[in-house]
Amino acid sequence: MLGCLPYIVRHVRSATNTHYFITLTSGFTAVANHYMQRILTLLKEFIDSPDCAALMEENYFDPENIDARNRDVWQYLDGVAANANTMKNEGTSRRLLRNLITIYKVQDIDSIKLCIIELEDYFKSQYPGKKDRNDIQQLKGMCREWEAECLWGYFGWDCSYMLHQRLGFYTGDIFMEEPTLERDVTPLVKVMEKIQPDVITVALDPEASGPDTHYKVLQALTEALKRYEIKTGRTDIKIWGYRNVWSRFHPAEADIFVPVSLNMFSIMQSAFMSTFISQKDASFPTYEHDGPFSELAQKIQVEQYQQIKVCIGRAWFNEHLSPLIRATRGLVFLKELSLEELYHHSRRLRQVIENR
Amino acid sequence: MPEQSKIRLSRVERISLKSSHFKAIYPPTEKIKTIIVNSFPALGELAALRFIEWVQANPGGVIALPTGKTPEYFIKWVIHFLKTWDTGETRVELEKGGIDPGKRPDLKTLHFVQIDEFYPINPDQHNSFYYYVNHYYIEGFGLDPKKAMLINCAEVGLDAGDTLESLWQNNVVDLSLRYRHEKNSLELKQKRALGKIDQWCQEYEEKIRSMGGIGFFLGGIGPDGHIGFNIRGSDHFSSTRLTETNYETQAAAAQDLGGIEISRKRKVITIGLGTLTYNRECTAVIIAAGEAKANIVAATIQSEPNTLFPATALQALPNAAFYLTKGAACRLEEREITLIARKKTISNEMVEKIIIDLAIKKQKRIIDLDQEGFNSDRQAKEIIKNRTTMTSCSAAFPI
Repeated sequence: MLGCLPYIVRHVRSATNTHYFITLTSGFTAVANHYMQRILTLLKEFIDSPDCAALMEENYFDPENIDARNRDVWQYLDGVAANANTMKNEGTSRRLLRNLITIYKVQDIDSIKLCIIELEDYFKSQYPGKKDRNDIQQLKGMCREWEAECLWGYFGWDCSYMLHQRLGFYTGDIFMEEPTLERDVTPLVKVMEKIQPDVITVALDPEASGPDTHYKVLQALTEALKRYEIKTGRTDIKIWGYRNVWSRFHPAEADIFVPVSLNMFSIMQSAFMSTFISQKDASFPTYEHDGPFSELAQKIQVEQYQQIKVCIGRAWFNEHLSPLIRATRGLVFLKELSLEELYHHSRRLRQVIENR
Repeated sequence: MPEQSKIRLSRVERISLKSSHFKAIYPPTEKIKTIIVNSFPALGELAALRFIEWVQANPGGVIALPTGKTPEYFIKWVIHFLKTWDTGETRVELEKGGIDPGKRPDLKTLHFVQIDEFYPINPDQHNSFYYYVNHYYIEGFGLDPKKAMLINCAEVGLDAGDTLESLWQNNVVDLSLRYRHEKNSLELKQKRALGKIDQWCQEYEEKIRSMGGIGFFLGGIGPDGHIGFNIRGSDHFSSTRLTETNYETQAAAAQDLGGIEISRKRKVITIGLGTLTYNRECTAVIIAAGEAKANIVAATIQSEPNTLFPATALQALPNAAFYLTKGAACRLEEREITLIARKKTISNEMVEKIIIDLAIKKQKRIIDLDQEGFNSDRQAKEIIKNRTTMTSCSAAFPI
């Protein structure tokens, strides 16, 4: 996300564009047990409050209540704006409670409290890094999905534009399964049919240089696009491949260079640090940077700008007619691919990684 | 530095090298033999074939095998070959790879040495290396557990009645206790435990050496160049020890251990670089896949022995080798030049890459690069040669 956010932000500011964010895997392995314990503590405080009782009264936590899902996000973002932890904590607690009701089908306060105690016991008793049972994987995954909803809520996209796929190959095992047609590709084709995309962004890591998930997502997406193309005859879809904290494009590989100003850096930092709460402490960082991913993303984008500044000279930036170019302090590198190019790229990568 | 003619290659390596279209080593730039394969599974297959070849020649030998994700295909291939050894298809596959299928390797005869482990960690945890080697190697390969030297933290350094949890609260191990007085009764116990662990490490080392050292070592390479847990800066004569890790290693271990908060606190027990090179006949193979490893791999292969690059210690071993995928090998200077020189036509992307790299190296605008600049860089010079029909830089490289 950080690898393409500056470009996406620029596009989604136009009301004529529609933006969907599809999480193909929830990323539950990157949610630490101590984080779960912390938000359960917040929920324990919230659940006895009059506000919670009032919301229960109005059926707010019904898993089907889309409006209420959005209100979780707005509550949280109002808290970000007001710089008020109590408001943010309430947003987080509302969503966590909704998630518990969805997963565990608990309805009344007593059962919910019991559920919280059981979960607290679970997180306390597990050694860190242990593979979680399915319900916990789902709960942790839903925490990250909530964070994604808050992030895109920053830019005005409500929950109906977030589609969480939870593809089955993502299991938390050391050696993950390969995506399968029925389980992983078919749901993606349905997503395509629903949103009819013109442009798709996807992580385009080179061989074995990003999380294995990125590679498998790319393979599943490629297969889904092939099927979608056959079904609809659409050949005009563009792919914007991005690289982020795990790998980078050489300038010669990229063909879209997106200027990033200090203003955009502030947005990126604020959006990441305020919404990706389970990630901001960088429990699962890269070896390159001891800190949040957003800091590393900025560092990379600044380095990329410095490279291009050397190649074309600082005057090109400093004396440019456009104030946006004059304000450039970082660059995002992207690679645009046609469907055919994507298929070719994925096939080549598959040959290298799986020898198939 | 080994000359081309003096490089030792096994039959498996010779066959693999032939299909890679590279030499085993490009002296003086490269200091250790290197074989490049096309894919991640092929990397695992080559390592598996070399392992089997070694076992056939060294029954009863001492082996040390890696943990983590890198050996995924190595494990799969070895198990595949062992399970289907007598089938026609596998026999053909083995022969093609340089293995005599008439000589089934007896893995039960081997002595297994666990390379490293976090400390403290409960050996029952699935993310302990103790669990990993038991699951994938002792059980998976059918090794004899009696011949396995394992690092079981629950049995190292503890007094009767103590547990890892009671001794190291919150898994915090303060190594300064080795050198200072304890402040309370818990620290006294911890100090005693550290002494016992250090003694245990020495005995572990002695046992390895008494068997003649490690005969076959297969390992990955970490982001800082670590092998085992011999991080950047490790003494090339180091032995088995309880030690600290660095940030890069902690970050790489965070996923396995449930977060950097946990891996920051953990210490490690690791065999040393001196343990690895004690047996000068050791076949030490480092496997690496992917462009993310390319910089550290190139720095290691192209550097003289230096504590900054732990795997340079392996240069002392005539049988040591790096097996790499193309991605991991993509910063090896001589091989890149060889590739460029071989190409009849060079893509514009490749030309762009070399020119941009040259501009950055010279800290000059592309438009200001001159003939002298191109001549001073071997890759740039090669592309000039390749596009000799052009008369000027701007005409030759219309980017």
